[in-house]
Amino acid sequence: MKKIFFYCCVIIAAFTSCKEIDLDITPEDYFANGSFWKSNDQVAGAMLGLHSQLRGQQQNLWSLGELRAGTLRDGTSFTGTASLNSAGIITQDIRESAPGITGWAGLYSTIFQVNNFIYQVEKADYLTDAQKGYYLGQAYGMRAFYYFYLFRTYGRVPLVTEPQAAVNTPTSADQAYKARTGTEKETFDFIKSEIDKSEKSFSGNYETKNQKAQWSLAATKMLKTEVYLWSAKVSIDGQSPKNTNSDLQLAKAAVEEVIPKYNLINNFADQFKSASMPTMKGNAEMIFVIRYLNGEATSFFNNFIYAASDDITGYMDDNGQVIPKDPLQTGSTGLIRYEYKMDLYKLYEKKDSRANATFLNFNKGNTSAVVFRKFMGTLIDGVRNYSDDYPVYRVAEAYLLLAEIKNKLGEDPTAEIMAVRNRAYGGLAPAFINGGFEANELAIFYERTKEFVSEGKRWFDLRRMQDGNGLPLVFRKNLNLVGVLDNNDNQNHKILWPIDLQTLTEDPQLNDQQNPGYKGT
Amino acid sequence: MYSNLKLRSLLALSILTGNLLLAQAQDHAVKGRITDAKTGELLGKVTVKVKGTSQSLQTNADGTFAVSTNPNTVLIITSTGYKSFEVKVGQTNLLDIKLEPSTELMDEVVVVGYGKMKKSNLTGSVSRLDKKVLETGVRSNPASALAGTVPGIRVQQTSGRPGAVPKIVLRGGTDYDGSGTPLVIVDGIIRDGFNDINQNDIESIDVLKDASATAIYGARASNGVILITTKRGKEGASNIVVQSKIGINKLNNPFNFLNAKDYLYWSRKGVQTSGIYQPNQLNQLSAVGPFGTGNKFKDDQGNYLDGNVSSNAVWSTMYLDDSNRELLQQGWQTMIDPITGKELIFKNFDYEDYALRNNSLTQDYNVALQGGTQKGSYYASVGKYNEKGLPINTFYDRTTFVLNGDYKIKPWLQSNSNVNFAYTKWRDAINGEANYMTRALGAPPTMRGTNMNGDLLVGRDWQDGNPLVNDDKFIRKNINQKLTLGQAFTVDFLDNLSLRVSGNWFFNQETNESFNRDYLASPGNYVRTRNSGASYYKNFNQTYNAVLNYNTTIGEDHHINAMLGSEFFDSYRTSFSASGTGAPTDDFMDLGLTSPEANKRSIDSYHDRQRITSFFGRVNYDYQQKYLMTLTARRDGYSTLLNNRWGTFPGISVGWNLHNEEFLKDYIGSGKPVNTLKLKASYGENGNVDAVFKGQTTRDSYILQGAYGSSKYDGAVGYTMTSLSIPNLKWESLKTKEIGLETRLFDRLDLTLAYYHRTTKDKIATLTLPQSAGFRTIRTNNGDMSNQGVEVDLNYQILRNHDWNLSFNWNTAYNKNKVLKLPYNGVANNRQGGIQVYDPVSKELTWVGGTQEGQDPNVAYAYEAVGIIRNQADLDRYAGQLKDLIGARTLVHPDAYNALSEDQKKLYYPLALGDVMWKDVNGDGIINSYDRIYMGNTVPRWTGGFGATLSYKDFSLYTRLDYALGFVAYDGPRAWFLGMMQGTFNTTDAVFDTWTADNPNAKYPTYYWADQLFKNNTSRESSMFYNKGDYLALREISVGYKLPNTIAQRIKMEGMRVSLTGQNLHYWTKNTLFSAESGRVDQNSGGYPLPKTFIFSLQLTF
Repeated sequence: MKKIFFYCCVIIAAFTSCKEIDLDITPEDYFANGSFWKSNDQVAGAMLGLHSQLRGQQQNLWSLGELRAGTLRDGTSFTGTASLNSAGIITQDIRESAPGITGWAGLYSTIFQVNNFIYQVEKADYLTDAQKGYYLGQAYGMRAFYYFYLFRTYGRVPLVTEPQAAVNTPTSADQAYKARTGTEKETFDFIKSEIDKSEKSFSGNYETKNQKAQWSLAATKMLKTEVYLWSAKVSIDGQSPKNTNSDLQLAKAAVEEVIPKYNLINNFADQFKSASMPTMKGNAEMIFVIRYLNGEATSFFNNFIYAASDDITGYMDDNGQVIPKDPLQTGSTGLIRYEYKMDLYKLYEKKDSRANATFLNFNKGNTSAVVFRKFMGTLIDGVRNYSDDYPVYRVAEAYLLLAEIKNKLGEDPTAEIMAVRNRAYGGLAPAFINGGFEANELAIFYERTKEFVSEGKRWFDLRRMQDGNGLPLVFRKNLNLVGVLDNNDNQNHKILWPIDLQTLTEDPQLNDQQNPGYKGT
Repeated sequence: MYSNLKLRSLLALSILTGNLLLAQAQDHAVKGRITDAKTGELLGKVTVKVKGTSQSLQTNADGTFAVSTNPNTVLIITSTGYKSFEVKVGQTNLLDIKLEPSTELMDEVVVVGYGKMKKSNLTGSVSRLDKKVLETGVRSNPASALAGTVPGIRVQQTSGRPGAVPKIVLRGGTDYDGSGTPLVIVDGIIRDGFNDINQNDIESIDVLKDASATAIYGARASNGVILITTKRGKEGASNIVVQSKIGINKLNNPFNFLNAKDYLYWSRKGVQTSGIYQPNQLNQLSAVGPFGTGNKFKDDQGNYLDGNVSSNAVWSTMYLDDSNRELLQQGWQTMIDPITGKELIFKNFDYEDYALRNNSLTQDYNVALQGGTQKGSYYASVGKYNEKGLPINTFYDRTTFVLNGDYKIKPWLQSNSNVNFAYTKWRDAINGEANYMTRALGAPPTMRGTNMNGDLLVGRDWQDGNPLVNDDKFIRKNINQKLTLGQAFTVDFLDNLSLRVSGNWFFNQETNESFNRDYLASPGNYVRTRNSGASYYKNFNQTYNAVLNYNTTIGEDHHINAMLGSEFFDSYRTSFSASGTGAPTDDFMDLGLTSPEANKRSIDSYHDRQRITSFFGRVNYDYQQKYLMTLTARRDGYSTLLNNRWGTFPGISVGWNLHNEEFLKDYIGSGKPVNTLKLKASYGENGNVDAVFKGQTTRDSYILQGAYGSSKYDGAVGYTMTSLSIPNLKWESLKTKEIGLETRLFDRLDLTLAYYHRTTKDKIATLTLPQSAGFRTIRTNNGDMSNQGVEVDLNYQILRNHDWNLSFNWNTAYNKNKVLKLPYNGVANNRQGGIQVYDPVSKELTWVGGTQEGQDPNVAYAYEAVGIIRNQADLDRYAGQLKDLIGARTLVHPDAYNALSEDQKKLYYPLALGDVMWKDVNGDGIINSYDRIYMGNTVPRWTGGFGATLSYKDFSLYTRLDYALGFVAYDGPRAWFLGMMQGTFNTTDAVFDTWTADNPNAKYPTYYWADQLFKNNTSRESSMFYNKGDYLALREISVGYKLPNTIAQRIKMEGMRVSLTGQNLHYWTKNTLFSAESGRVDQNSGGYPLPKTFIFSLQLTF
């Protein structure tokens, strides 16, 4: 019996001392936090991750720049079958209780990743100075890019620059409370300083990775142009701009550095066809694009196309030709959730190639409508795959920004306007005539309208560009397709968006911090 | 008519099974008579066993029996409710046996962690499922058998899908939202849940509830432990049981959708109403669509249009004219258009006719063999279960095999082996059951159904159309295999010292393959991507333990039973998946055929391991069976945790058997009103980390280490931080205190009472950070909560004599959850989440809901519909100065609206007759989000069940009902249908009770097309669609008949039993959801109702 007992003890001892029962196990398939930020490859991957996130935000950023710009319809699609999305925002019916967007437009989750990137790369000793500088140039640029959206949407925002949750895990929500800045200027100055850091970090390196699908120094310069142009023209904290001239000069210098590095593509439509025309991927016109790819990610532009079940028989196009069945070869992918106004299509002259590159016109009886077709992707196995690159900055915009700067400086913007216009008309555009500040500003505005449909810029144009009295165009309702708000107490607060109640109440530091005009609405 | 025959046939059997022990010397015939020692009543159906053999018989109805055996035989006489009695046959020819009624609690043996215990010695809180429950119904797994049978267990069956497993929560759960799943252990092996367990193989289900009982399972046991023990061979028994159950399932659809005619009337009226506010919506009336008249029968050339090709030929609605008049001969109907007064032609289509089976069949067959001698015993069973679902082409099919063998290899060495295998196949509704059973059945009924060739039309599209059209295009193969292999050895060093070592392997592997042949996605659109996908996962769990048992008696009175053990658990999950598209043919799903072009294939693999190392021990002590005590302790180390890996969980429970006390002999005992009385108290601690994994679709054991998740960008791998590292997370620690009593009264009433109080400290829960933090939620040790409640379990033997037996049982439990403490965050009650509403009394803003100290987080708030605006006076009184901000636009009185500028009008809608009047809680003339009021709890306070068992001679009747009380249920689907929120879909017959000028006293507001774009009458979450959730379910009723033994023997059987059972027959409730057990279904969602099932069962024992 003692023997048996002894053997059993031996077995148990062997069993409990076995190495297999080690409790320290790490993931086999991915990096845990402890194993990341160790090499240049990982940092390069993290930078791609930031871009993947930006791509995830594309529709969101589009919403911020496009929905309120007055060019979209609300109600029901022209086919009568789909109710159009975002009606409240499109009609400017935004209130505290119906804010349209929530949670600071969701941008802090992307900023968190950028913050973490900067935090980690700043202290990385495994990178060369050049590598580090380039990465930081990108990251500071992207952070400024996001904050500029936040600033234009909400004004004062919480300035979060540390990845607190990653560095020092909060155990209670109050450790993460963050108030809004006291003034808009504080937010804006922060953005400018970020741009400054980005430029310095790049230290003149204009290299662009992934066929324009990564942030670069040129993108930072474009952002800088936008920011300083805004600074030169838009009131801040209720005060008129103070340093208009110097801001304009800074903007001008930045954009003039960018322009020579890029070229307009001859055919307006082709530049967007990165999915169906491989040579158009990262083409000469593009400065910075968001990359979509079949099998990787597709855009939301299927939401602009008729549904397979829609009745589109009996329609004529703009030339009176019968539109065939499924003219855009959608392969049953569409559903009209967004539809542009016919009036927008009517802005184009007949010879303007942008009209039919941007839209397909449907006419039947009293019905005239357009379907947006700029980003149609490519057809794969009979199914349309919406995987065109989405341009963030392209050189056409650089030209028009320069035109706007020159106009504000009292210089002649003709050359820049005509460069863009001639391309659209195949070189035979009607000549632009310098007609004084307001006329020029409106001409640039309309040019931008026609050039950048659905590129998410028009709402910001309305806020930045101005009439002869220095008032933003957003209030010029007496012009065709320009103003969208009345300049009175009922409406003028709506140049900023309301903060949703949940966001306000989740952070006691935001108590009573609603944007003016929205409380109790 | 004596039972010799029986004995002989038994003998024949025992020879067959090699049991020859008593086969000699059958020379002594003896008769016997059995009476109740007290009443003198002759007792029928008493079991008489020959000791040491498998031979047994039952006495006749008059209490007599006869055997032929040798004088040395000892007979054991047993009968429920009586003390068992042994008698040596001797030389007498007539045995006169008097049975003493048993006054003891029925001394069942219950299974506790790593051992068994007599119920009389038990001090923890353990409930055993009444075995009858498992015998009657059919079920794909035994979880639903727990409904209403064990006090403190809430069983929520919210899906009727074949193979679905109900949600089970013990004592209110340990999570803030009232959830928390008990640990399921089958023969010592932890399973993922109840899935794929054959109820026919189950010997017992024991539920360990308080921490003194569960502490022995330490980590993971905080939500209770359900111990399932499968059948094993018994010494002396040897038989074959063949069982067959056939059930018919009937659909229990909660929605009465309109026919095409009513649909057209109401849809067109709805559009007309909405057209008042958005005139361009009126275009729909003449457009192509389900209720529009733009549909075409023939094209311009006069050719028939095919609704599978052109979208304008899908819907039947048209104005009647000469071009389509011929359709009247083909069953099309006409009606007068309520809008234009013209005649409409249309056809009625009922999706249910194609999407669902009227009845479906469940079949359950089982063959079990068992036998045993003194040295070894054996149980084997093969089971086949096949349940067809109500959606076409859905099923769940399971084959099980169990083999349990025990053998005494040496006098000191016992071996126990078991194999348990389940092989399941299934196919579910192609479009998700919530969609399939709710939304899709409400697709427009004006679909043409067929084209002119008679082919079925797909309809709107493959998801909301006729599923039969594409059903054979979607190949789905799901196979799961669960295999348990267990081997244990028990070494008896001494009579009272033994060591049990065991090793258990549990494989759970599953393959899911899917392939889409070219299918008609919508009219004229074939999808030819030929998606083919296959995934495989395997969980391999290894459990090894060694347990030392020692028992001793010190003096006469001190009984000690001690156990010491150690366990190691390793769970490794691996998976592999691949998919591809673009194969050149749709004949084969072979992944190799998919296109090798870039981005057309994807592939993934996955690995995950977790380990637990444990040490545990238990001491049971009693003094003279009067004073009982159990001490347990467990120490666990868990690989998922990082800096706080180890936890220690002790438990203590004490009991006092008052009926064994000398000084109480005059009050408690046999013949007294109180027969037995035991008082119990316990305290125990558990740890828990389950909440770490909450919300994960695939297990991630490394989650606290943080992760950089990968995503692809421009063909390369990008990384972002997808989870934070939380190295300091520690065990939730749970403390349960319980007091209770067990008593038997009047020799016929067993009563158990318990009060418990459980606190969960350092609750692992999701903490929501402010938006600007960038990471919205993190897992932290986020506060403390408590559950407390009372449980009652009662069994009442109303009648028992030789023909009749009637008993009644009832159990109930009350539970209340409360948040005790939350991390400081600078707001009142350290509230997290929640909403602000006006206090109905003070009219001041107050915070409700969310997670707050001192409150139950599971409450519902919604707008209160105080009525319908029935006339102008209502409108003026209600809306005079009112602004309703919760409409799609601000809602105001028509006069106020008319005074607005044209531009401003775009931001408002005028209220109208037939809209809802909302409660303005603070009376400020503004309806906003602060005007929501308390609707009720979302989790029941009371749960329980009752039932009765009645038998008369060989007939029996058994019923079981269960209930849950004290909660509210939100019916989103009904609100969705009644607001025509999809835009074209059908609605339910509730629309007949909507406000119109002709029906001003209607229950519901005006029927709008797309309510959510206008007044939000039905789309805002309101009291109109909150109902009391309380329900009483007639879960089961079963009538059985057992063939008398005498007849059974004649056909060479031990017994035969037939029964007819109805399952899930009725709910008495105001809850209108598809499942009364569901507490909330969102708009545009739904579910698969539990079918009513009628079962015929036949059981043969040879």
